[in-house]
Amino acid sequence: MMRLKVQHALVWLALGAFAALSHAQTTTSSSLVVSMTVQSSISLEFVNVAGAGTQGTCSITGANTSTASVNFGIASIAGDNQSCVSFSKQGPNYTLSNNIYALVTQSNLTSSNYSLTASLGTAPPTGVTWAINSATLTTASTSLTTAGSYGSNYAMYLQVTVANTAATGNIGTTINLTATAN
Amino acid sequence: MKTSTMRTIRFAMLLALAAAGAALASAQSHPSASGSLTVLLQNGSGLQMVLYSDPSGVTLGNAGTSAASLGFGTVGAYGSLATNVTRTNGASSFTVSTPFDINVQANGLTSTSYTLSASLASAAPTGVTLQLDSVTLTTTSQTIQASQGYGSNISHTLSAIVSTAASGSGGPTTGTQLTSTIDFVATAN
Repeated sequence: MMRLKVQHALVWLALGAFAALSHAQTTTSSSLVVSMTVQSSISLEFVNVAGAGTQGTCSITGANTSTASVNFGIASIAGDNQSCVSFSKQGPNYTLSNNIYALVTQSNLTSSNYSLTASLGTAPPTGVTWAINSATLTTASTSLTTAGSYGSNYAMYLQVTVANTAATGNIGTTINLTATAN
Repeated sequence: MKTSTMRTIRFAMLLALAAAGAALASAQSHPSASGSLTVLLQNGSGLQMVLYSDPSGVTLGNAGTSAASLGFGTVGAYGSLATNVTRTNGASSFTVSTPFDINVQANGLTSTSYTLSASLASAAPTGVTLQLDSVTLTTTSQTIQASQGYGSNISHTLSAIVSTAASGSGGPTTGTQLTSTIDFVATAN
């Protein structure tokens, strides 16, 4: 009788120990729901022409961004103080020219090419004419290409022609480019 | 002893008996009892994992719980992003990233560290790869951290690598919200 009681007690003890062990929590879990909405996008940046700094290829400030600048220096009928600017005279007028690239890239678009337009931020002074690839620029949008290739540098030959009637002083301008996916 | 004296003593004894009886009756009308309560409590061992917003990351939905949400917002290779979402552009993809925190608390364990693993509840959306601390997540559990101490917020970086291909050409669906659920498991070492 006594032996039977001891056996029962041992069984209960073992069961209790097992229950305690199985109750020990050694893992925990959590979940994180991640969400996003992908949108198609297009990018335009200005790129230096290879060998920038040599004549006709002034280095741009802000290369590889969408907000760049190029310094054409101080010019007159006698020439330009920036050696990187190409200078030419046409009678009493002179023309400065420079090569710059525009690079347009796209993401998550089915478009295979883009259209590129340019416009001046403000009307140029009398006697000053800006042009890219021979297309005269105004404050209205001017088409430069209707089939630009994404990911390839688009060469822009930037010219400004200054007549001898133009007033002296700052005649710089801001040129706005817009690339639109076709 | 005189007869009168005897009467006086007898009367006094009667009074004493009456007083004793009254006291006994009074005690029986205010009964008292006592008892004891044994409270059983067993302090078990346990782990708890909670997700928090990181100071440098996006604000989580349901932060401070084990079932939170993280929204990257609208993302693209170019253009603005939500606050605390960063981006790097690659040749054929862009990656948006943000940190968030995981805090695992333990009690009743001799363990001093835990192993964190993560998996996706279902395959990631087409054109999107999710990484946690540079570990690419799949529906199979991946170890993220093998020996992390308990009780402090640990920053983890969640990244989504998004293909720049067009939808239908291997890229993600655009213009609609894409979701994935990451399941985390912390295991005591």
